[in-house]
Amino acid sequence: VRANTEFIAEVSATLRSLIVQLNSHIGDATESTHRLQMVGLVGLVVVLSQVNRGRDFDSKLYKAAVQVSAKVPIIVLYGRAVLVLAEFLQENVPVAISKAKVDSKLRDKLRSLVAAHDESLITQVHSLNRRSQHGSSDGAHGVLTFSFVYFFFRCTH
Amino acid sequence: MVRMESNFSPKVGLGEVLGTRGNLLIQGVLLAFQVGNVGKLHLGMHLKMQTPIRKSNLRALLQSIELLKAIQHTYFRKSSLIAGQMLHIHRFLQTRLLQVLDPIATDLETQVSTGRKGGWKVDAAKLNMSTQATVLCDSLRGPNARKRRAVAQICWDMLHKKQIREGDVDEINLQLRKLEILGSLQQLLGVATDCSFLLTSRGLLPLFFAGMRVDWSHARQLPHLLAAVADAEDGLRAVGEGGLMPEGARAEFRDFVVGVLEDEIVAPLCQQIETDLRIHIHSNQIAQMKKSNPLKEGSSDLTAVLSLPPLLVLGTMVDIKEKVASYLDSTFYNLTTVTTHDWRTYEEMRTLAQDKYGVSLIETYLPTGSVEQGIDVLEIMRNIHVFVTRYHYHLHTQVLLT
Repeated sequence: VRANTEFIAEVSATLRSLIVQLNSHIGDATESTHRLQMVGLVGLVVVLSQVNRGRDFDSKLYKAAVQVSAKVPIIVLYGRAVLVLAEFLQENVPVAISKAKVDSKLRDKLRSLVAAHDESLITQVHSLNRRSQHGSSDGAHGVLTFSFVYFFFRCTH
Repeated sequence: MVRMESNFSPKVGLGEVLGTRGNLLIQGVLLAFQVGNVGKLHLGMHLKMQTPIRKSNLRALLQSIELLKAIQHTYFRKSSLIAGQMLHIHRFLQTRLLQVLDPIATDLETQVSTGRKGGWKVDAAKLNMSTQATVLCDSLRGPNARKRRAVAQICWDMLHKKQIREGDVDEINLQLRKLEILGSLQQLLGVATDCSFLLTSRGLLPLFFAGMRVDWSHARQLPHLLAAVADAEDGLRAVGEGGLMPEGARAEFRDFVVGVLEDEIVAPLCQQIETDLRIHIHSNQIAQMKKSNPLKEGSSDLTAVLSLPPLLVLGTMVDIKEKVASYLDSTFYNLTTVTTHDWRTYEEMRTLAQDKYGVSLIETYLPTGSVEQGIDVLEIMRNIHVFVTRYHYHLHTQVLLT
């Protein structure tokens, strides 16, 4: 496999396009299981980097994966088990970046994200609560949005 | 009423109704995913960074859990209606897809067959496209099963899009995704509304319960919170069945939850009700005591928590109202036996409890003849040997007989 450069280029391009596709859903109203799919995808990026070790890694792919971590820094796997995307990539993908520098940066970034999330949690939950009760017009794919409760009211007709 | 008029109008077509219902079913699941992500991400980040959760955010966290369970229960309550209409919604979406794909497949087939008839060499890429489009259409003419969806998705991914309009490509992508979500609605809903993370964050439970005490009207969240805790127990059960967990872990978890509920909800509620009854009665009996004015001082609405139906706490039924009644019964009985001259006060408190809170209390069975008779307990105790020889105790009426 390692000798087959075309295959590696093909896999790399596919992973890039998949990351772009998942990135468009993550954090959006259309998101469903995309975060968990992202975990698998980041795992594949690491596998590809291990297969390709000793050579220059596709920097576009690495950057695309890191970009997702800016949107979702942490993915909850189960219970206390969480995956910090940037940390995972940094530890497992050999790229020429000073680790110590990135480590401290990442820690600061996570801390500021926690603070930002602390501030916005109440607003986020209120907005979701409102949407669940009254519906909104910002639904995905131009989906007609009606009240969720109202739907079932109609169902009982 | 406006919505009723507009939506129950005969002008609304069946297609529109099915389309709207399908969209709403999808919207509910997506909303559950969003809510779950907000709550789980918040907890996950705090666990990772080892930073405490703000007290002011606890209410929002509880609300997100409640919302998740409310969405799940809505689907559950309407499951028979959803099951009855789901097939029609699938069929409707498949028909919409076929309306776009059928002409494309027919066109490609015509091109291939014309080429063959004319004796020209058929382009392999076109032949592949024709086959893919035909298989795609065939897989959409049948039940929306997982394998069929997988085949349809693969064919669509492989199909070259150069002969298809951009608007149609987006429409097909959208409809295929809708079919995917509706086809696995139950599993997706289970994943989206799963609250098993409460197992590792069980320390939050006492805080959630304590938050309800601030305003008892929030106690209506209790059934949803306990349903979320049940998800955590499901996780324990699954691990236990695999033999990966020490025996008794589930019972330990159940005892923890029941204990927290008793300590944080039931016990404070009982004490608050007893205090309230005492203040009411004593303010009428004692002239110097200041009478409380609920309009000025406000009063906590305890009826919200007392009107809750019996709660299912991990397989154990807990009836809060029943527990309060039991507490008041035992308290009034014990206090009447200690201070017999106060029997009238406790009788009034018992009546007030029934009127104000709707709790049904049992009679204390302390006959009026046996109290206020001036029996001196100290005298009896000094001559207990004489008392024992002269009196018998009637267990049923709980009186002493000569």
